[in-house]
Amino acid sequence: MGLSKHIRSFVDARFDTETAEHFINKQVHKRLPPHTGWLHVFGSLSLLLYLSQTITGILLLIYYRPTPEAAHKSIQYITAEVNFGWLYRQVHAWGATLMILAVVLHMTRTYFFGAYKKPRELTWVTGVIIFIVTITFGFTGYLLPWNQIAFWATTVGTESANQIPVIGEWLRYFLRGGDAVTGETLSRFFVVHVIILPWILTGLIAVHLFLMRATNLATLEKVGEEKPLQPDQGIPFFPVHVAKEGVVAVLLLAGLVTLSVVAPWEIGEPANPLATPAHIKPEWYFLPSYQLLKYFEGPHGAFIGILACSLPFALLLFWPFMDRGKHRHPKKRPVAVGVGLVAVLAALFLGVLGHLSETDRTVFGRTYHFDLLGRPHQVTPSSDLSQRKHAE
Amino acid sequence: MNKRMNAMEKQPTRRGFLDWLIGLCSVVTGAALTVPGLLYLWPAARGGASEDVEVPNASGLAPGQSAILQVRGKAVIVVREQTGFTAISAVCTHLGCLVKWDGSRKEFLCPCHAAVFDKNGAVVSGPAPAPLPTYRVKEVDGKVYVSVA
Amino acid sequence: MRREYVPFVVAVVGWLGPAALLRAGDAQVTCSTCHTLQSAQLAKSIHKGLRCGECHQGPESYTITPTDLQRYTAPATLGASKPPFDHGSSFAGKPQRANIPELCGDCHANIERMNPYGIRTDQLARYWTSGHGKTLRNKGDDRVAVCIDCHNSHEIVSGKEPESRTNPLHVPDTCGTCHADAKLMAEFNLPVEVVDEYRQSVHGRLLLEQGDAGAPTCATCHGNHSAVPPGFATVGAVCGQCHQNASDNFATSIHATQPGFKGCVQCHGGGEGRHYHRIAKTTKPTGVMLQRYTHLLSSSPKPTALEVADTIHPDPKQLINQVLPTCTECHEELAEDKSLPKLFGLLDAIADAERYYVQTAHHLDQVGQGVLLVDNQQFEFEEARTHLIALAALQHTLNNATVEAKVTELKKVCDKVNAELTDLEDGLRWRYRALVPIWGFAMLFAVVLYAKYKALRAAFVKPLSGPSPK
Repeated sequence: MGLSKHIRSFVDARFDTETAEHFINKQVHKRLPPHTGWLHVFGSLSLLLYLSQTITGILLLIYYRPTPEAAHKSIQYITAEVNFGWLYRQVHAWGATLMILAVVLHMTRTYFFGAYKKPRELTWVTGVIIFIVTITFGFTGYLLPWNQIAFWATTVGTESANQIPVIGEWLRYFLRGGDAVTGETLSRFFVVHVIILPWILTGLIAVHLFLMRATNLATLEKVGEEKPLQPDQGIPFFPVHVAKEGVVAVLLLAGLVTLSVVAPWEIGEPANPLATPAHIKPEWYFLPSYQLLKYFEGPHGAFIGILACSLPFALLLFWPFMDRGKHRHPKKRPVAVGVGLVAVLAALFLGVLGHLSETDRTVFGRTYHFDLLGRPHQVTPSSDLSQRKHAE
Repeated sequence: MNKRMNAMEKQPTRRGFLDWLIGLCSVVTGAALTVPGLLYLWPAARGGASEDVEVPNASGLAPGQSAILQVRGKAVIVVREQTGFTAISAVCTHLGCLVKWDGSRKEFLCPCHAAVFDKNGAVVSGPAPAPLPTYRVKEVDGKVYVSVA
Repeated sequence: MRREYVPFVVAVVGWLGPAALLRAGDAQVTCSTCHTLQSAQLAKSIHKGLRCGECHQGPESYTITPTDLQRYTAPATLGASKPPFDHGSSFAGKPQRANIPELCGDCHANIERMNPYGIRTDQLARYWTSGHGKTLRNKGDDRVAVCIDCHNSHEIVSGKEPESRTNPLHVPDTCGTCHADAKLMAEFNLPVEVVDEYRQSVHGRLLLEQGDAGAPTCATCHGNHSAVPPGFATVGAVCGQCHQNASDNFATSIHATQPGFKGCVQCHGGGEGRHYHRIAKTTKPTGVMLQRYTHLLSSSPKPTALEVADTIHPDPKQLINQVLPTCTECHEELAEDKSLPKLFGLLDAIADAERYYVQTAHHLDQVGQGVLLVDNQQFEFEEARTHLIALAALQHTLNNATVEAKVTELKKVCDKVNAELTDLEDGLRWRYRALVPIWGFAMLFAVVLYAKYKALRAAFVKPLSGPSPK
C-alpha cells in the first residue's frame, strides 16, 4: 500500500490525473443501449483475436525465417522442436480464420441493425477497411510457410492481377517482385504481413474504437430521433457487458486450443515451382470471389470478373451514403434487409459451389462429379470417363 | 448507486465466493497463457532451424576419416582430406543402401552390391547407374557446415 | 632450272601426266563409282578413313570406256547380267569367311596400329579361344560367327551407337541370329531355348523391358570375343563380378564345396529342364514388398503376421518348389533330412525381418502423414534398409547364425524407430487428453462469469419497462 501511494503521489504531482481518471471512468462505465445483447460480442471478439494474432505472430517471428530456403524448414522446426511451437502456429492459423469470421459476423450484425447510419457512417467505413486489411493479412500470411499449396495459391492469386487493363502486368510484377513467385515475393509478403499491415490495422482499430465511443452504440431508434441514454438507463459497459464478453472470450480461447489439436493445419510439402498440384483452391474467405471469376469468359471476361468481385467491396464501403432511409429497426427496412440477405446467401452459395467444384461427392449413395462451374454430373461407373470429358 | 450496492451486499458470502472464483480463474487463465509463452521463448534443443548443417566434431576427424550426418533427412558422408572437407550423398544410386568411405583406397563402397565410387562420387565399378551427388561444404570459424542449397 | 619454278613444274606434270594417259572419252573411276552402297556404308562407319584396298587389295582407281561405265553404273535390269568386271590381278575380291578373323586382326591385333586409338589388341587371340574360333580353326566350319556377323562388314559403328548390333540393347538379338535359329543349332547340337530363357530372366527383362543398358547381356557372362559358356565351377566367379557379396557369401556355404553342385544356377537357373539362362530373383526388392503390403492393408486393415508374410514374399515358396527336384538329387529323404528345417529356419528369419521392416515402414508412413515430423526417424530407418538388402546377400552363406545376427541388427534399428514413433504419437495423444481439463476449466469459468453476468444485470440494468429500482 505504501508503495502504490508513493507512485500515486509521484504521478499526481506531475500529471493531471483527475481528468484522465474521469475520462477512463466515463469510458469504462459507459452505458450501452438496452438492446445490446449476445450478438454484440463479435466486435470485441475480433479485437480479442487481433490481440491473439499479434502475440502469437510476434512469438512465431522469433523462429520464422523468411527465405525460400529456410521458411518451410523453420516452420517445421517451430512445430516439431520448439516448446509449444505447434500450439502457437495452430492458434495463429486458426485465429486468422476465426478473425475473418468474427469480422464478417460483426459487420453482418451492424448491417441488419442499421447501426451504420448517420452519425456512424465513418465507423462503418473504417470497419470495411479493417475487413479488407484483415483479408489482406490472410492472403500475405498464407504464403509465408512456403509450402506447395501456398506457393501455387499465391501464383494463381497474383496472376489474376494481370487481367486488369493497362496496369495489370505492372501490378503483377510489383506484387510478385518479379516475373514469378520467388524469394522476392516472400520478402514482400513478409514485410507487408509483419510490419506494414499490423500498423495500419492498429491505427484503423484505434480510429474505429474512438468513433464508436464518440458516437455511442446505435439504438434501434430512427435516425435523428435517438434519445441520449439517461445515466441509469441501458447496460453499463463495465461490469455487465464485460462479464458477458468474458464468457464468450473464455469459450473462444478453449475453442481455439481445441481446433488446434483436433483439426491442425498441416505444413505440407515445401514449395516446388516445377510441379503444380492438382486443384488449387484458395482459403474459404476467397471462395466466393474465386467461384464468381470462373463465370466470366471471353476476351474481357476476366476483367469484368475482377470488377464483379470488387463491386461488393465498393458497395460495402459506400453503403451508408447510398442507404439514406431513416429507419434502423430491421422490420422497418425490408429492402435493405432483403438486399443483405440475398448478398449473404449469394456469397454462401458461391462459396459452397467453389468448395464443391472439381471434386467427386457421394450423396445418398450416388456419386456426383462437380465440374469447374460447380454443376453436378452423376457418375456411373461405366460413364465415368465420358461424363468427365463432357463436363470439362 | 449506493442503494444498489447495499442491495448486493445482502448476500455477501455468495457474491464474495463468485468474485473469488472469478479471480482464481483469471489467474489460472493468465498463467495458462503466459507459461507456454515463456517456455516457447526458451531456446529449443537443436538451436534453430538451419540451412547449413554443422558437422559435429569436425575437428576431431583425422585426414582420410569420414563422418555420416543427416542433411534434410538425407544421409551425407563428410570426408576429411588433406586439403579440406568434401561432402557427398551416402545413398547409393543403385538401390539406396548407405555407402561407406574406404579411407585407404579413397573410395566409397556400397555394402549391398559392391558398387564403388571414387572420392568425387563418380562410379568406378559395380551396378550403380549414376554418380553420388555432392554437397557444398563451408568452413567458418573452425566449424564445418554442409550446405543444402 | 631455277628453284622457284620447281613447284610449278611439279604441279603441271602432276596434273597433265595422268590426263595424258587417257584416251579421248575414257573415264577415270574409283571403287565408289560402281559400289555406291558399300562406299556409302563405309563413309558412315568408324572405318571411314580406310581405303577399300586395305581389305580387298587391288588398285584405287580404274580407267574404263564410256560403254563400260554406262554398263556397270546403270541400274540392274531384270534378266540382264553384267559381265564380271576385271578388277586387275592384284584385287583379292570378297574375303573368305574363314579368313576374316585374321584379316581384321591384321590391324586390330597390331599394337602399333591400334595404339593411337587406345583400343585393346587381344580380340583376335581371344576369338581363337572362343567356341566360335575353335570350331572354325579345328573343324574348318565357317558357319560359326566371325567378326562381321556381330560387327557388320562395311557399316561398322561403335557399340555405343544406338543402332549398333553390339549395343547392349541389341546384343540378345545379335547372338539370337544364330543361337535362336533352331535348324542351325540342331546341326551343332546346341540348345536353342537359351535366348528366349534369357529374355524372360531378371537380367533380360531389366535390359529389354526397362532399357537398363547396365544390365548384363549375353556377352557379360560369356565374354564377347572369347565367347564360351562358363562352367558350373566358375559360374560363381562370373555372377560374382556384379553380385560380389552374394558370391563371397556363397563361397563360405556348405554347398560351395559339394561336388556336382552347379553353383549359382543350381537355384537361380530357372527350374526343371532348363538351360540355366532364365536367371531369377528369389525375393522382391523392398519397394515391391512395401507396395504389396500397402495393397494388403486396403483389403484387411489389421493383417496377421502370416498374412503379411504370405503377401510380401510368396516367392521363396515358388523358389523352393522350383529347386526341390534338384535338392532331392542329394537330399534324397527330405522328410528325414535335417538340412531342410535348417533352411526353413533361415528363410523364416529373413521373412520375419522383412515383415518387421515393412511394418515399421508403414508405421513411419502413417505417423508422418499428419502434423508430426519424422525426418529423424526416416533417416535412422535408412540403416534398416541397408541391413535388409545385405540380408539378401547374407542368406547365401546358409549359415543361420550369421543371418540371425544380421536380422537382430535390423530389428534393433526398427525397434528404435518404432519406439521413437510411439513417443511422438504419445505426445500427440497428450494434446487430446489435455483438452478434457481445458474444457472443464473453460466451462467452469464460463459458467461462473455467466452467473456473475446475471447477478450484475439484475443489479445494474433497469428492466426496459416496469418500475425503476429507485
